[in-house]
Amino acid sequence: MKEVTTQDQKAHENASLSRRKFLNYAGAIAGAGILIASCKKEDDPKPVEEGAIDLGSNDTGLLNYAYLLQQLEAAFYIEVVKNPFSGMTDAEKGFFVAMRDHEIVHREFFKNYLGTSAIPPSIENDWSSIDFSVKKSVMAKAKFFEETVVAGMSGICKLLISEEHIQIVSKMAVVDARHSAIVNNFVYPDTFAEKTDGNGMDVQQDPQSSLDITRQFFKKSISGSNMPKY
Amino acid sequence: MKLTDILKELEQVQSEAFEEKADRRHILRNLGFKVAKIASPFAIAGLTVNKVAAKTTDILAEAIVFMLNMSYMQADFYKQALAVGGLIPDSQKGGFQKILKDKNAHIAYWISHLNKTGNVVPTVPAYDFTGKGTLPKTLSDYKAFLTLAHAIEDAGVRMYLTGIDMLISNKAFRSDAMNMATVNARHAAHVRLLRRNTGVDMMPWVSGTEAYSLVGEIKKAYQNEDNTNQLKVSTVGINGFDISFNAATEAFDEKMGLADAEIFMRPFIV
Repeated sequence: MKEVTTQDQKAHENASLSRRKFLNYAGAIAGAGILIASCKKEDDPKPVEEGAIDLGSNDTGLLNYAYLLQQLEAAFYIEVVKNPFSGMTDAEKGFFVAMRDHEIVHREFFKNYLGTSAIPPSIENDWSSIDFSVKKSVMAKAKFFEETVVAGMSGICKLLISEEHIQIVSKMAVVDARHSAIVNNFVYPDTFAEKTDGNGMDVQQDPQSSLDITRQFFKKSISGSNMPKY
Repeated sequence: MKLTDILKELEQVQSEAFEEKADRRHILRNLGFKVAKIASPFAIAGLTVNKVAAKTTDILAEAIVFMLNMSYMQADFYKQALAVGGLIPDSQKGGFQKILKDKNAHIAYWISHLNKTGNVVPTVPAYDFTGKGTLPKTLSDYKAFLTLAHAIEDAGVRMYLTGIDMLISNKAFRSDAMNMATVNARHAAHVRLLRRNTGVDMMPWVSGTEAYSLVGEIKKAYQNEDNTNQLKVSTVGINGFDISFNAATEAFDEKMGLADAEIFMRPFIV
């Protein structure tokens, strides 16, 4: 997939994959003596709650979840910059503006890339748990959102199939990790990597449980029931 | 597992095996490492012993050795720096000790997997962080130390992105590399914030190729970081938003390929 194709073209490719590519690779597969018996056909899409936004299935569903995460972060920082907490310094504002712009790039990238398969843009947020006028409230949520997004993007990467999708999401996840590190440092010095485990690895979260955390920040109901699972 | 998974893996194996393998081995040798010799295959998603699996195995071990190159260099760098009295201010030692701990954990993890699979574990080369005299103050002047530190960190993030790509056929290792890549990015952001606090006009993320703030060999760490076209989506001013060139390039870190990694690392390997 070196071309950005329309969703219709992609759907077509996916539909024909099982036969055409299978024949191409039949020789290699035969040598392995494998596994075909354990492969079942992709299930039909599960119905979602009426009025809910369905993220979709396969890579598209995962990329839509990444899009949702980036919508969340972008909308949050847009609000933070628009309604600065009392006492926000110019330096602090500079960081928030830069992070806002990165998240807008991420968000708009997904919108364009997903095209007609994308979930709606600008899904309305529920900010009732945040007091934007209070620094402590804003910083705590920034920390929470960045940690959630880094873990969620890594989880998405684990499940994606397409190489270029894995690449693009990982290239964004590391920038979100840069955000997360400095926001952590702003909350408490030297906590830039406070949650690494004994192998020096970051937290990763499967998209299903990630969505269970993030859905509260959207006013519309979001369904991930067709997304790939761990 | 889904059929599309298997097909994707096979597709990957083919292109990797036929196009880039020889080149990678050559580069790894030039970096002073003995290329991992494959004694027993990594288990990949149910494909056990056959020619395809053997080739994939080779690639996985090479990916791990590639990432180890950088983790070795990073760990040795901080070990040396922390051993120089008065180089790192006491108030900032804790952060570097934490970074060193994570790097050592990365090394231990990858070595354990090379061992488990009967692969050769590369020895740690001797490093000269003055770049054979071109950066003479690296281990005597804190600002000079921070300059190389963030270049090594940013290059590390980029090399781990390449590692993820090389491990694409193996979901477990790919995830491990991913979870280390974001930790490396956290380290990079911390170090860049420290350098910013010394009065350098820079942010915790990489703007363009950053040529203005760097000298000599370490500029090589930033080649191709100025990409503004992601999967054919142009990111500057995307969809009418006021997105500058800097913001557009900061929003993505870019992979660092093996040839560029060699160019960057070679001056520091004795």
